[in-house]
Amino acid sequence: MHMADALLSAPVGGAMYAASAGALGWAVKNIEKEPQLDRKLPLMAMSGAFVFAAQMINFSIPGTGSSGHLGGGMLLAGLLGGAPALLTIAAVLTVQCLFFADGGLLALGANIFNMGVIPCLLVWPLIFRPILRKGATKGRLWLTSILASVISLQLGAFCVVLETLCSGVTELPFGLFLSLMQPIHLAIGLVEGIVTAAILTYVMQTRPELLTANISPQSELTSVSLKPLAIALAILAVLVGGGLSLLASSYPDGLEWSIQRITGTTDLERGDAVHSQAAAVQKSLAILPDYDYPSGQGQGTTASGLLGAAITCALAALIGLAISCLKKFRSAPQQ
Amino acid sequence: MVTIRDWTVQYPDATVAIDRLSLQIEDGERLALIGANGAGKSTLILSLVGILPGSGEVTIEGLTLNKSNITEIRTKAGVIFQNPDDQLFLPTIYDDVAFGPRNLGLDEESVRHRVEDRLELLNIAHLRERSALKLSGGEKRMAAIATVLAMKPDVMLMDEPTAFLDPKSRRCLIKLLQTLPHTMLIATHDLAFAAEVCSRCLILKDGRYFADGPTQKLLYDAEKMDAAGLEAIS
Amino acid sequence: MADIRSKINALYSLEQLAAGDTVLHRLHPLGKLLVTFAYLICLLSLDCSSLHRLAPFLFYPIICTAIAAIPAGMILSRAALALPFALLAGISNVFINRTPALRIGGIILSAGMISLLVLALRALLSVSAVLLLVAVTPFPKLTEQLRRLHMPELLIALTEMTYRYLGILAEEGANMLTAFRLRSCGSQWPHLQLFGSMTGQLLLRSFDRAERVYHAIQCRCWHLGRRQISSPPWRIGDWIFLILGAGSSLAFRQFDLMQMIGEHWPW
Repeated sequence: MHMADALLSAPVGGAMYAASAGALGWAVKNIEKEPQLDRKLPLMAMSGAFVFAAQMINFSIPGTGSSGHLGGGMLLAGLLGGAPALLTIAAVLTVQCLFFADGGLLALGANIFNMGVIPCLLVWPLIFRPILRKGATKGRLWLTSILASVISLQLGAFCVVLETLCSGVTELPFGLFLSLMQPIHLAIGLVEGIVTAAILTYVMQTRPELLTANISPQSELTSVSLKPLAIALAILAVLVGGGLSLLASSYPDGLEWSIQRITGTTDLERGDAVHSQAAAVQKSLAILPDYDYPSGQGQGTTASGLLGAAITCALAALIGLAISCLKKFRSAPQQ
Repeated sequence: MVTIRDWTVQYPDATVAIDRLSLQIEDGERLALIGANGAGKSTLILSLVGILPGSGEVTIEGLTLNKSNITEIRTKAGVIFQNPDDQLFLPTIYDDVAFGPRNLGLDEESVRHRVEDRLELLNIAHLRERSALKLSGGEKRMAAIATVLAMKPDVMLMDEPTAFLDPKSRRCLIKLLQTLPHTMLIATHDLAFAAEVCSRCLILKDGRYFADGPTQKLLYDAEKMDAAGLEAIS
Repeated sequence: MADIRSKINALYSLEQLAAGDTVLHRLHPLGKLLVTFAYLICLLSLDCSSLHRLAPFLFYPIICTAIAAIPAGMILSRAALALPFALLAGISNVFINRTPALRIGGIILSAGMISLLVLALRALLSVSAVLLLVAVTPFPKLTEQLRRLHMPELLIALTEMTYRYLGILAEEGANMLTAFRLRSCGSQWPHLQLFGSMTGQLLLRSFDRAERVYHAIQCRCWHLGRRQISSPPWRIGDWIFLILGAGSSLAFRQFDLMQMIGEHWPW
């Protein structure tokens, strides 16, 4: 479910950063009050490493640009509680984006929201815990794990669809996009639910004291304060994300416009997108309908632009090579 | 000097791990802590530096352990863990040894000075840039000791220092410990090692004081050792 | 075992690069962080139909990789991991948007094809920029900088620990797997029924280990909110890097330089 930087536009990325930062700030405040924080920290970090390893088993979902893998958010929430689980997921995603090119730096906010805020601050307090309220039996643990995992992955996948569409990088229609993402994540959600349930059951049987703090009904305090916040957060995020991206896509890009004024060559690119979609519907049989299209004008990319690009690429490669050679030459006498 | 008075450590599940223990270790003395598995040796060591909470009074080098001076206590008393892998987790040995001094807020120059100095002292300067993953048991043990010495402690608390060591590395360790001037509390099952390194030993049984005396006498006392669930040196 | 060991080493190979000592390594982490963000924002706010405008964004990763003496293959192979996702996302565009957009000689490219290429390039470039940042900035310095930017200490400490614990988890997992294989009469992986309890056990074992490692670092005076390392000096070189790095990204974003070069090329 990781979204890459390439698939996200800057405004959507920024909006999601804001939403996730708010949720994280709240989680930090909440957790710092906890008296046993010192004992919990290593468990949080190790569970994070565990989820990290589990997420290494992944595949890409055709057509969507998103990867399919276990989310792990529900497992973390079950082991650690909602707020600590959110922080842990955020840590995991940060390390993944920095060292493994999984997800991206700009997409980090979106990823934390889809895989962290949704399961930990929404689904966990609203679904996972209430089911266990009457006491944690094996049956209830299985039921709640599977249900909560499926729901959080469905919601997460839905958010991925929204964020990608708002970014305008794919021309997949909304319905088709959804029909690609949701069923796959239903299957992943089921697998994740089973894995989560199996691990939580094992932990409950061998080390019940690890779980009692988070799933037993005694610690009612946090769940009460969590619920309204969860709902408020969800609404806020949708509003902020939706509003910002609407603004971004409906406004003719001011920068593009000024470039056009300076160079006087390119058409407004946004406007063309609408035209081209209409044309695509008309000529839907061949991949490349036999148009006689004059070269050197029209869409965002032009022949002279490409020539300039080729020259630039060559120049960049040359500079890179020159620096490398110079470095080798300079370091050679010393060795 | 380390003074412990009526020290009790309780686990969260109310099990008493250490029960009203009192003992004193003089400056420069090396005291061996002997006891069967589960007697509370490791728990005692961790509780003395405030990792596990305990009640009673612990004074290390004139400083009485309380919540506000935990950092100072931990610079005065260094802990060497049973498994050196638990102490070495950074990419290079240099980073591992520098970890403590850096936490003390020293600038990079004095950190480097300290690290180099300690590595030289333990004859492991050649391991500086190596990763702990690629070291032998003996090298790991020395590196772990270096990480603690870099904090410049007055007291060293050791948990099974001869674990994972081959005979030659064990001999090296004995020689090293005999030359170090620190006050030491050494928890160990290796009685021959205890007899060589420590002059006095204390036997712990089920978290309580059982006996103490000179190692040369107590460790050879079959009757007493048997009663503590241990086996005397024959 | 050897296999898992080498994977653990590969895990931390970027960090070994970060221990290098070149002009780029010595720059202030804040400058590098800002330049990376400026680069990403400018790159990703370009329209998906302007293929040629991505070209100048090659300068930054290529020049920096060369200056920092990082093996280009290492960055590329890691960046390539992100490629399938971008390609799969873009492939639908090829089928949906078939409007011809460009003719080079006899070849006509559709808008969908161009956006596919753009997506792939965006993926490679954005990922390289991030990897480059990590390859020239030691992780502790990066996190120290985030602390100075008042990111919550808890989150940063957690990120650092998660990163370190990965190796420990891999070690524990490797040990368990070896123990399993020694008694499994030939089967390499535990079957499904055993898998649940084995992963559960792995988790609990790693928890114990995590706790011991945590105690060990506490014993060496590590605690949440400990004294911060003072900020490294911000030198004139950092200004130059910031202005050149962020400025060039902004300029490439603002002006269609490729178009100008192409049009005014002597022939």
